[in-house]
Amino acid sequence: MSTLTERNGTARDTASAEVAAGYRAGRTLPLRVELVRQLKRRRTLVMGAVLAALPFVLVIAFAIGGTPDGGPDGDRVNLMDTATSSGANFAAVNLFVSAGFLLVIPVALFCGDTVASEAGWSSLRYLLAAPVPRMRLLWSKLVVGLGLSLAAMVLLPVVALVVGTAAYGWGPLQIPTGGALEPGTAAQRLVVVVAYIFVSQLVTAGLAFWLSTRTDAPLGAVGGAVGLTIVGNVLDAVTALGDWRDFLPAHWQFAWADAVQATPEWSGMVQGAAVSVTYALVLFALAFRGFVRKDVVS
Amino acid sequence: MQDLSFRVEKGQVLGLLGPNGAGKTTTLRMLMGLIRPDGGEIRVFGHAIRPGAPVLSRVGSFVEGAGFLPHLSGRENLELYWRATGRPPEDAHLEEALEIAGLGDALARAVRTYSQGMRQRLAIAQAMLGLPDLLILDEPTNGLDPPQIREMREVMIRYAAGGRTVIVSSHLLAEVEQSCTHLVVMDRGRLVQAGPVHEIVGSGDTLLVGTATPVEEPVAEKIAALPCVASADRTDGGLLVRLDADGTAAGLVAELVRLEVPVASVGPHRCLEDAFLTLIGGSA
Repeated sequence: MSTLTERNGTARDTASAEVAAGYRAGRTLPLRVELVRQLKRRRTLVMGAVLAALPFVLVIAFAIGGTPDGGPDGDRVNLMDTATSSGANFAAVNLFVSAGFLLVIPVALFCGDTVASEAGWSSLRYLLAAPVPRMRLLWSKLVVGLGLSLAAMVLLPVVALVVGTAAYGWGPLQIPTGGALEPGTAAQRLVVVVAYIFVSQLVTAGLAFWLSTRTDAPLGAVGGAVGLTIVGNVLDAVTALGDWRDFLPAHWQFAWADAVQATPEWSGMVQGAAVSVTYALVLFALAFRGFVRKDVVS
Repeated sequence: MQDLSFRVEKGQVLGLLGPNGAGKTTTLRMLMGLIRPDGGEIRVFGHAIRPGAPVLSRVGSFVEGAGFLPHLSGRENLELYWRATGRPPEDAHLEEALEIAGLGDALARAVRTYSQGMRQRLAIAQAMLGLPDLLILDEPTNGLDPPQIREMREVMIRYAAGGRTVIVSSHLLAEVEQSCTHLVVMDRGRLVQAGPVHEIVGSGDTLLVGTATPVEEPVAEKIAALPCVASADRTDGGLLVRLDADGTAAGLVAELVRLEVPVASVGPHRCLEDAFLTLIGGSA
């Protein structure tokens, strides 16, 4: 009897129900939906194409310029000189030439453009009024932005490995300082390298994402993040700063080279990861804090 | 914004009327939880509005222009928007909304190729997805051509007739007069007046009678003395007649013809504009 009354009560109360049928805040803007919204954009496709094309460009460059092995100053061997030894070497060289700048761009783009472009299109206010809770919206956007960034970083070495293997054969990874890593070990090390590059780029991601929540101009957020990364690189080149440079994320961006050795050396990568993650957490926190309180007027 | 307070009930079409800069859009943005009022609160269906309040799932909105992903087609935009709400696809009533948009084959084209009016109609269709209990439309007829404006008006009236509520903002008097049941008049961030349309524009039973020749004063007095007439005043080119509660236009015309008044036209006295200008002190 009491159940029946209650049921009647519920039916009558639909006029003042808090939510529409089937709405649950936790289900709004699912990752899959956000991914579809971003994937179909031209900039995503162009970025993917650029990264996939780089290995081909390098193969052509080495074909025209000749193999770098045994250059004139044979005593100063670096990773570049081993590029054509094997597919694994070629993949490592691709990462080496792009880690400093080329891989910064997809991260800044995917994390910096994501909220600002919605604000620019005015679609942000309709998502928020759907309502997608603000934390939920940022979370979906951040996960998809980071996911696309990671995909870009995986895409480059995978294409390079395939192209390099086709061009130079499958073989052990020749270490510039002497020795070689078996293909199986080499593959593991490349995974470590990609993982480290991803973690070291989190600071750029954090910066871009924070800027994205502050502006309606996507170019401002992306450009700001790329610009500050460049400033970091410049400061790192100022040797007079001495130990202060340890606090610059840019100081550690090539620490992954320690993994391309007979015995990997971890301390540099651990420090670099710690610096990057610390900055990133602060920046992500700023983004969430600011966005939740913000008046959306775009 | 100061001292703005109003209520809207089920089945009403509420017009938010005010000159540009009166704070209409700001009010609607607050209703959507996009900006916070400095003080006071907004309740929709009895639930307080704050950013992302769940009750907003019962509200559909179109405020300050369309917002679409330009690289996607009109249909994809609406589908992805609905999927972003996380609600069951069958609740979207997508086809009904698309019919209101009336975009036809253009639905398959990227939104960036759309004209202003097409975006507008798609955005209104988006607001109607899921047939929300409260529909908020900000200047919905801007950028539409006259037949589309008339259609939009009918859409709003039908929508409210189904037991839902529509809030529509406009700076066009004729617009709200024809589609709204209730009005909120705003000026410079303040509420000027709120209530049913007929209360704000004066009683809806005032008729303007156009005559071929000016009416003589004694005739006007005779008309004023008719049983169904409350008052009759001579104006330029005719008479302004206010009917009694039981008076009808048809009855009045019959009486006028009997009194040999040369009636040329009879129509409702459009006094909303006067009312509006009076209310906001003539600044518009």
